[in-house]
Amino acid sequence: MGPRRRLAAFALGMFVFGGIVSVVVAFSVLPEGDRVFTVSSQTELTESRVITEPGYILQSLSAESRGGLTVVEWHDSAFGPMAERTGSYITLYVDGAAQASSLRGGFQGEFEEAPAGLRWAGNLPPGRHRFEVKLDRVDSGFAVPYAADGSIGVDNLTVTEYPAADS
Amino acid sequence: MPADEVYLRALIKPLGLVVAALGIAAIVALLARTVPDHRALASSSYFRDFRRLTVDSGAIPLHSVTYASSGGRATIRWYDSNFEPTKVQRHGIASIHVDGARVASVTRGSSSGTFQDGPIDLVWRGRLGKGKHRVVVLFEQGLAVGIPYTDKPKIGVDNLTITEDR
Repeated sequence: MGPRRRLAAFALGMFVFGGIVSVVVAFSVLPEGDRVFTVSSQTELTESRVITEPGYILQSLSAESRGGLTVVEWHDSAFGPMAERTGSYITLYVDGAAQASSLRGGFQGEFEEAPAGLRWAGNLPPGRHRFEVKLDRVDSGFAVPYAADGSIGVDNLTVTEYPAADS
Repeated sequence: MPADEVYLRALIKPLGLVVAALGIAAIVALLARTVPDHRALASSSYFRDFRRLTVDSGAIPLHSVTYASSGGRATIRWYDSNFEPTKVQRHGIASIHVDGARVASVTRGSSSGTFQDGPIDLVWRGRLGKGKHRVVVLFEQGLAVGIPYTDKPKIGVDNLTITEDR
C-alpha cells in the first residue's frame, strides 16, 4: 500500500472513529430524562366483539419507566350496549392494582354505539410496569367494539411518559 | 522533505475540518438530547364514591392549576370517567378557561335522564404565550349530574393534563 492510500485509510478511520465516539456520547453518556416515550398496543376488528362475561382483558402491555408523569389512555372506537338499561365498567390495572374505572351506560340497548375511553395520569416509580385494561362489568353484554358493514373497529392502549413541567 | 511528511501536512486541514464537524455534531446531539421535546402537567382527582353536582348560577371549579409555559403549541385536555345526567331532557356543560377566558366547552345531553352516561373528554389545542397561565375547568350547567358517577369499590377519575410541544 502506497503512502497516499495509507493516509486516506487513516483519515477514513479517524472519521469513522470520531463518528462512533459522537454517537456513543450522545446516546449513552448524555442524560435522556427530558424525552417523551410512548408504547402502545392495538386490536383491529371487522366484526363486533361481544363480551358477556366480566374479567375480559381488552389490552395489556409492559413498559420500562424512567419514573415520572405517565398518561395511560385506552380508546375504543364503538362501544355498544346489547340490552336496555345496562352499564359497563372498564378498569385500568397498573401492576395488578386497580387505578381507575370508566363507566358507560346503555338506555335503549341498540343504536347507542359510541367511542369510549379511559384516561389516567399519574406518577410512576422507575422500573418495569404492567398495564392492563379489563372489562369488570358487562350486564347483558357489550360490543367492544361494535363493527359491521365493512367498518374496522379499533381498541388501543397507549402509555406516554412525559418530562414534568416545573410549575 | 520526505513524502510522508508532505502528505501529513496536506492532511492537517481536512482532519481539522473533520474534528470541527464532529464537535458541531456533538453539540447538536447534546442539545437534542437535553432540551425537552414536550412539557407536561397533570392534575388528577380520584373518587371512591360518586360526586353529584348542581349548578343553578355561576360555576363550580373542577380543576385549577398554574402552568409555566415556555411559549408554543399546547394541548389542554379534561377527562372524566363518567358524566351522568339524572334529569330528563337536560344538558350538562363544562368548560376550559385559560387566564379567565373560556376557550372550549363540552356539552352532554340526556333524553332519559339516566343510563345515558359515559366518559367525557374535552380537548383544546392552541398557542400559549411564554409565562405563567391559569388553567381552570368549570362545571357551568347541569342538575344533579354525576361527575363522575361511580359505584364502590370502583375508582372514578377526573383529570386535567397540559402538554406542550417544543
